[in-house]
Amino acid sequence: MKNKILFGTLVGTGIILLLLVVANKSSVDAGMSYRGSGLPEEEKKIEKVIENWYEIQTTARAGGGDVSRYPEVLVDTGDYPIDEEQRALIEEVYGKERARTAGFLTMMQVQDMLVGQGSEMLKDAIKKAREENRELTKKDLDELQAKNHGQILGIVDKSTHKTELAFEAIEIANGKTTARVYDGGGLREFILVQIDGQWFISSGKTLRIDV
Amino acid sequence: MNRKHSRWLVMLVLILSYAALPASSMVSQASTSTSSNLSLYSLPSITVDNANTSAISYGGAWTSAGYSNAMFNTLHLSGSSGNYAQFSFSGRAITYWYSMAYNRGSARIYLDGNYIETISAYAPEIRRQVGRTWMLPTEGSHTIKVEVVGDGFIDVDAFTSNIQYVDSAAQYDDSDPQTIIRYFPDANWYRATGVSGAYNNTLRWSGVATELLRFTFVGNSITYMFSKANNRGIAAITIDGEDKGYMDLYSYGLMRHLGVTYTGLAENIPHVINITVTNTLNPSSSNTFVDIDNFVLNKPLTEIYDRDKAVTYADEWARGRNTNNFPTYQWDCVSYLSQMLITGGIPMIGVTTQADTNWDWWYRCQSAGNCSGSITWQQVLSMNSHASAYAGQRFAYRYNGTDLTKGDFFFMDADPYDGKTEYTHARVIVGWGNVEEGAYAGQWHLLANSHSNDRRHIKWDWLVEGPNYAKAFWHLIY
Repeated sequence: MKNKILFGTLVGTGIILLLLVVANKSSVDAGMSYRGSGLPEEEKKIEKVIENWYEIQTTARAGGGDVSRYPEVLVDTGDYPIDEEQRALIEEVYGKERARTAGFLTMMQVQDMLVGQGSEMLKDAIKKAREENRELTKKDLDELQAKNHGQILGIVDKSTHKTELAFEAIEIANGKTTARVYDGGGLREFILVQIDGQWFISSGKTLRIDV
Repeated sequence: MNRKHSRWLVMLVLILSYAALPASSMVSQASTSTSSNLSLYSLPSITVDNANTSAISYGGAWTSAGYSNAMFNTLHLSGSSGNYAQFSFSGRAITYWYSMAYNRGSARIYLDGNYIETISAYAPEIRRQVGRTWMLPTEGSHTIKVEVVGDGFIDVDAFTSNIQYVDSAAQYDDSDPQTIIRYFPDANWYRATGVSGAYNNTLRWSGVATELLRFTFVGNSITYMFSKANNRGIAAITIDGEDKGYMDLYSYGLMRHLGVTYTGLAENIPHVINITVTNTLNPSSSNTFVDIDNFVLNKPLTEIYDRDKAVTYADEWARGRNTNNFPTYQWDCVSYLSQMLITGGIPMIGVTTQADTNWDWWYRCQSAGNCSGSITWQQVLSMNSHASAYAGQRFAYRYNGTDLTKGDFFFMDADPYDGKTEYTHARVIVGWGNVEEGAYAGQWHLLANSHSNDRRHIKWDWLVEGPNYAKAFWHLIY
């Protein structure tokens, strides 16, 4: 009888533990501890928006700075703080009115447009210098930087490398989401807001760089 | 084909092409002599004196007269606007020899009918045999025209096609029997031997105004070595017709083997440096002698940087901190890069003034473990600005990571959400090989190391692949 009670207790404990594990399993198997919102359908939508963002940003940067698709996934709100230097840059590119209401959408558009076109200008200049059998000089670089609204130049490659995302946390409250995503290069945190039932990214920042 | 074999081939081509020239083309009044290097062109060097009016055509009224220390002791002069001297030649380089002086003006230079530039022949005192060389895109028949602007006299001393030069990093002694250094007049430059402390124990000197020596070389910097003493005067320095100012050789006590270096010269064009006796002197000096100990053609940049040594160091310290010999920083990816560069032989800049600008790059140690460095030594943005400041001189911007070679480096912007391109990390390139860690372990790739997050022999762009990470690829020109 004692054995039957012991057996029943063990089986019951096992079933309870199994149920607990199943209940806590998230929709994302990131291979690391994951903190979910308990709203798996919304999480899927949010993950999709962030994945789209990575794809859209990659395409824009590689495509010479065409940021016309950014409004599909980003939005200007007060969630992304704009400092004076950034506001001045936005005003230079998009004008005063846009600078006044700028948020993550506008900042990313300005940044990536300049990154994308700066990269193309730099590549062209390197190619031209090579044809002239010379190297780029400080004068060349200064001129390019001035043309690129003073932004430091860099090369972005056109590879189709797809960033693998691992979601570490998605917290949803009052129509707003905070999502933490590991993308290999670092840990990023995005804020998303819901507008007419659709999620948009209103802020992004890097929490940790792992490169 | 290695460089030695190339030179032999070029020499052979030279001999054959020279032999093939028609007699009428041999207008030289100065014989060609052997050159240690002819890699810029294969046709012979020919010098034509201004007096050779069958080779040089003069437009307008020019005066011909004798002048001491001109190449053949004569000059053609004109001060009238539009007058010109024109010379046709075969080759790839043309050198115009002229005098600079207080009554000289400027001249417009045309090559093959195209205006090139206007040069000034003004100098506060007479400087003979100033040489300025222009390169043509191809070997062949070309024409140079020197046109008087009219703001002073312009003279023609001579033209030389395919001027001979030296380009090997070496010390060229005043007593070199190959007469690589030319003295005018040769007999007036006293030959001193057994001079203790001088290079090769020899010196040559002169104290007579307008007497000169000149040296033709290819390289981006040249050092003039001399003695200072209480009987020394002031030398005027000219490079390619540019007034480089004066060197006062006076000192109360005797000082041997001193030098002044002129940098920033174009790499692939022959340069002529002239040292002219000015017959002026420091009030404390007893005479006007100007001497030469030797010239140092500084090591070509390509020979300075020992990439193997640099990479050996980078590998040895990939996971360690060389705190005894270098400054220590918490985030040390750029300091690690700087250590690699300095170990490979890249010279520091600004270590004597220890200024903290993007133009400088240095470190110093007061004692083991007590070291400090410039901001460029340690910070990504500053080091990138430093590389930009010396772009085309020390560093060359490259298109792709795979354009880099061992001992090069790159910066990356690892934060795509801060609203700007701001480089945050550096990696050094250590060559091609099997990846030791990370996603591509075991595969053959271009490899990189880094500090801050210590990495050794990773695929060069692991974790920063794709367009989301802007990068600056820097190749060392050395």
